[in-house]
Amino acid sequence: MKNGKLLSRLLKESFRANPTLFFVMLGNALFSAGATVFNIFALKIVLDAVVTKPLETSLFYAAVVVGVDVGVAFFNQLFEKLMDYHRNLTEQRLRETVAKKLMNAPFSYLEDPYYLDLKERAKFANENQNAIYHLLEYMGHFISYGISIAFLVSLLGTFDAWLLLVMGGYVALTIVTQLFSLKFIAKFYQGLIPLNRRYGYYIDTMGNKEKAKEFRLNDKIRSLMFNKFVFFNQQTQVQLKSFNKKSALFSSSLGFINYLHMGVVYVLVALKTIRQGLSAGTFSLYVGGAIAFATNAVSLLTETLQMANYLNYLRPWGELMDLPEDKQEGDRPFSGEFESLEFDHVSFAYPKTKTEILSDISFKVKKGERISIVGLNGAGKTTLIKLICRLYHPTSGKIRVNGHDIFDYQYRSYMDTLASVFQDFRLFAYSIEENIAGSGPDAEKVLRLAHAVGLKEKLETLPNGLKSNLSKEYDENGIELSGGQTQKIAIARALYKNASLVILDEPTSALDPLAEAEIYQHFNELVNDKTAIFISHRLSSSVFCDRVLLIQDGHTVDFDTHANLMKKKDSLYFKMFTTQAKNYQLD
Amino acid sequence: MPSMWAMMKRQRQDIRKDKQKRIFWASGFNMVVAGAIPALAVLLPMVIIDQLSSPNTNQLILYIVIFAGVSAILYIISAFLKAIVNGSALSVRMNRFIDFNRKFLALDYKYMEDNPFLDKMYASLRCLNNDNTGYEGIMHTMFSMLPLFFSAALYVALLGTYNAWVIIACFFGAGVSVVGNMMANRYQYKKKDELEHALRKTNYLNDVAFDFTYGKDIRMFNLNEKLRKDFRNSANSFFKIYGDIKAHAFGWAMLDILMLLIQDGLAYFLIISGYYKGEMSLGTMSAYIGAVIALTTSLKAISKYFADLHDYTRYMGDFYHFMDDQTLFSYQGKKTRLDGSFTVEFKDVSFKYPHSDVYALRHLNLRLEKGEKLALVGANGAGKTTLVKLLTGLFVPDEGQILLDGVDIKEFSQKELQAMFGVVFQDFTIYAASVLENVKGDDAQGKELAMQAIASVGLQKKVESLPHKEDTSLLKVIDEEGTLLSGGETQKLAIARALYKDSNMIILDEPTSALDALAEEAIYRDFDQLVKHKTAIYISHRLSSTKFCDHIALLTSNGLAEYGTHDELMAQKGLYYEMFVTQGKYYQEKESDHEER
Repeated sequence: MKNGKLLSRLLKESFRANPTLFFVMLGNALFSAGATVFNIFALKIVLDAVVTKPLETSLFYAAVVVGVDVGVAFFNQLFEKLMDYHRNLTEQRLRETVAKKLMNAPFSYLEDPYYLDLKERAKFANENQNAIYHLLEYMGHFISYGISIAFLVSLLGTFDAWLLLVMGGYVALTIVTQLFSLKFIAKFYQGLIPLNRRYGYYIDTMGNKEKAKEFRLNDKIRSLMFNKFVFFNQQTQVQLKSFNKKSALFSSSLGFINYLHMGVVYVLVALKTIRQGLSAGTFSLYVGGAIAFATNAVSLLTETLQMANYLNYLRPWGELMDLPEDKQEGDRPFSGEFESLEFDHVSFAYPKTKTEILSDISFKVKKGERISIVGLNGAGKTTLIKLICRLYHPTSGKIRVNGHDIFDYQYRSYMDTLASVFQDFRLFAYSIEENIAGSGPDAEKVLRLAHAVGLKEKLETLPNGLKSNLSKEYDENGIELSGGQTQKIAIARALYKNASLVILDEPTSALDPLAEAEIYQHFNELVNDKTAIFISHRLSSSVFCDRVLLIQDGHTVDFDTHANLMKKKDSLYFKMFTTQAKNYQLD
Repeated sequence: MPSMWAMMKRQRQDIRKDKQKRIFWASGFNMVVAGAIPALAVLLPMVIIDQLSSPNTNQLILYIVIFAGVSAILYIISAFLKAIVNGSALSVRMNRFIDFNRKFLALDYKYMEDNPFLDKMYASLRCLNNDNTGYEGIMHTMFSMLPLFFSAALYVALLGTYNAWVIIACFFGAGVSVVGNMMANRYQYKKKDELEHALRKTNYLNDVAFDFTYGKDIRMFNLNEKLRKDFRNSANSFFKIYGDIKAHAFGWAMLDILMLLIQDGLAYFLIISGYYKGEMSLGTMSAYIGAVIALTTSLKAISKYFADLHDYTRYMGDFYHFMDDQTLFSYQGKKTRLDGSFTVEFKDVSFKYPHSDVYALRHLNLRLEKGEKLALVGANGAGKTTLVKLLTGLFVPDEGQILLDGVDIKEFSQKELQAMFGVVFQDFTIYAASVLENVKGDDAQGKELAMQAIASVGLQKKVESLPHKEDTSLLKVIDEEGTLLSGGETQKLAIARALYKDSNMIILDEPTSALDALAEEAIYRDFDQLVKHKTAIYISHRLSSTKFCDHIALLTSNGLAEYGTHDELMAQKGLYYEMFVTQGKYYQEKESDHEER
């Protein structure tokens, strides 16, 4: 995305997010420009007055100057505070816009390494560099500089054409120097990004309390990571030191050009003043004007170049803003209950990859069945679940529920039929109640489910019970739960949903046998006539299921009752089951 | 609350320690160099304006050339001094991260599970967060502020030759400005906790959206709208407080403006009257006016810088407090490690987590013989992992003793103690380093041993299939071409890491939870081979793993409930029996049909 397009995108979105900002910006710019112009006239007014007018008049003029000065200072303060507030507000609203886009994007983007990297860079731009804040600040300045410069050029142009030429030459020389400077800065920061990312990894790893146990119990691992951390820390120092020294060359050149220009301006204006017998006031007006022009022009240029720098950082943000919204196709409302699920010659490879994870999968599940999906690590079980949940499109073949392609159904009405506990489920820093039920919880139902999954004892020890906030993220009284306890909440969350197809991917991996048995017992009671799909490494769960779907290398190898599968003594299933079973034999 | 001067003095010590004294002399030198530049600009009218009425243009041009030339040279010098200070200031700040992390890694483990302590500690790092404010900000502020003192002194000298009242008015105004700035900052500091709390919540919601692992659950449970609304509400709370702080600051700024009125008014009055009285030339008058404006600006800038310094040093106090705290290490032991496998004994051990009222372990008595393999089982939260943390010295028991071959673990030095244990925790980490480094850390030798460990956990084939074999990088964060291992493979690697260590004892906490049945069986089968003669503890929910251990210890919230061999416990028909039968229930059915629901 080109800079111009990115910038106008930023401005458009900012206006949408917080229009007040632009009015404040305009007001601020007008006052800034006004102040600049006023300042250079102020001295002229006083100098001319004292030479020609009586004391009282001069004092009066001085009083007016002071008055205007104070008024300007007042408005400057006001606008400065307002601008800071609104810039921050706009930045925050834009963050919200991006967050919304991320939550509504098609799921495939969330597992795409390109987007995983992109969002990190977008995050860095805002958190580390305050890119948006600075860009908005510069935009405000531009208006002010623009107005000032336009005025000053016309003022100075009418005074002396040579003066304009000198100023033009100065601006040109400065532009050239700044362009070289920009190229240098951009190259440097490009090189810095990977260094920053790596250094950031080590800082995060060092400071992470979760890693603390391992670092204290393994000196060699600790020193490995610590030494790498020190190395990258020092690399960053070296890079930045060298950068600073080279930058000094550029700022020196700019300074040299500036003073050269000032010298020429002073000489020009002084000679003209003498030749034409102009007043001292006039002299200071034009000298002041030329210097003000130089200051504004240089600031304008510098900030343009810095803007380019910030826009570079912001590019990932721009790409995220272009994220498509999940079309959520389908217009047939899903009504009634789940009756059947059919995989019809479904094959699937993740986007941008060639390896087929699932090849020509076909099977049918009827209402009320309990199905267990079994296979070795990496066989494709979790992928199958993601397809049922409409997170991805099959590469070929169709998935049908109740006879219709699942993508024909209205998205939300289809999703309401499903409830899932993913293997890597997440809970939120809300209360237990809100985690289970979302907004507007049915307190009685929540409590019933919480007890059913075996949380009664734990809840009784919590002073706030179901209303306890999970994690101490922003509640000092927040609680930390064990892996097993969070798993129970995730199960309760799935059960609360009133879905007719329940999917559980390793739902009890963190639970001990008694807790696990308690869940399965209540589960039977709670989902009586619902259909359920299980994935578990503990093959014991496939015994109480109606049928077992065996997946090997992305193919469905078998789909039958446990008893029938066990008859095939050279199958993978038989091997896996007996391997686990033999350790549980009661002799 | 340590004073601003004390904090700056400490920082000067840091600078000297880091051998960055160039910051001092560069800033000092710059004070004169950069301070002179604006003063020259103020003086220039004095000589030029009076020359405008004389016909001798050569002298005028000479003055201008000297002014421009000298200013340019001073500016260039200042630019290089700035570069020197910028580079060094950053180095000094970054070195503090090294100091901090070195200390953080050496703290007693108990602080890692002490959230109030951690909160305070992370807050103390605030001053090191960026290069504009806080710790580094002080050095930049000093660099920018010193020249202002020099210029101000020059203006005072100039104006002093005329009328002291002008100077007094300027200083008075500056004093009021300082007070105003401080009051505004103090209010902001008072509100900082409230502000941070609101910010944290807003940031959390932003992090959730950016953390793609939440994606499935957000879509499954239709949480987008709820999250977005909460995001908006917490942002609004934040801005309410922020707006309040800004309004307050604006109020104080009004005082500034009042002072400006008085100051400017007085100065103009005195100077203009003086010209009319014939006390100065026109050129001198414009120079005086310029000096008043410049002095006012300088003093105002100085007062803002002072307020900034005050602000920055406030946060530094927390940092130094943490760094100076010597009470955070309790290991006093000196003994070197034992040889070979040892006996382990828990003697009447009781322990509570920091800030907890509930005993995690109470009067625990347990003994392992040399080379014994113990299975530690029990419900979640019964204390299994706690027991391991106590045994390895991460925590210290509140009562009782833990003895290795009869020696209290407190007597061993921390370095020696950790060398005796090879542990795989449930939440182990794979680091962004090579496969080999993940096993042996930065041990210079030991490659052969590491390769053996890798082979013994069944990873040899996988490692050989990797592009750079054992030197292949893992994870993609450091090396974009790095490899990602599956959950099961990382678990095997973590076990290899523990085996490599040549420790006297091995502890494995749920080491096969991510492995499928066959891979799990391979680990069980080779377990004896893997741990050889070492004493070992094996924690698992899957009671199938207990059969290959010598003894089983069953922990409940009441402590050690049952202890014995598998057969003994089964015969007891207690809790262990119940758990074993329940978990194995469905494995008992062979050809018979499954239970009716």
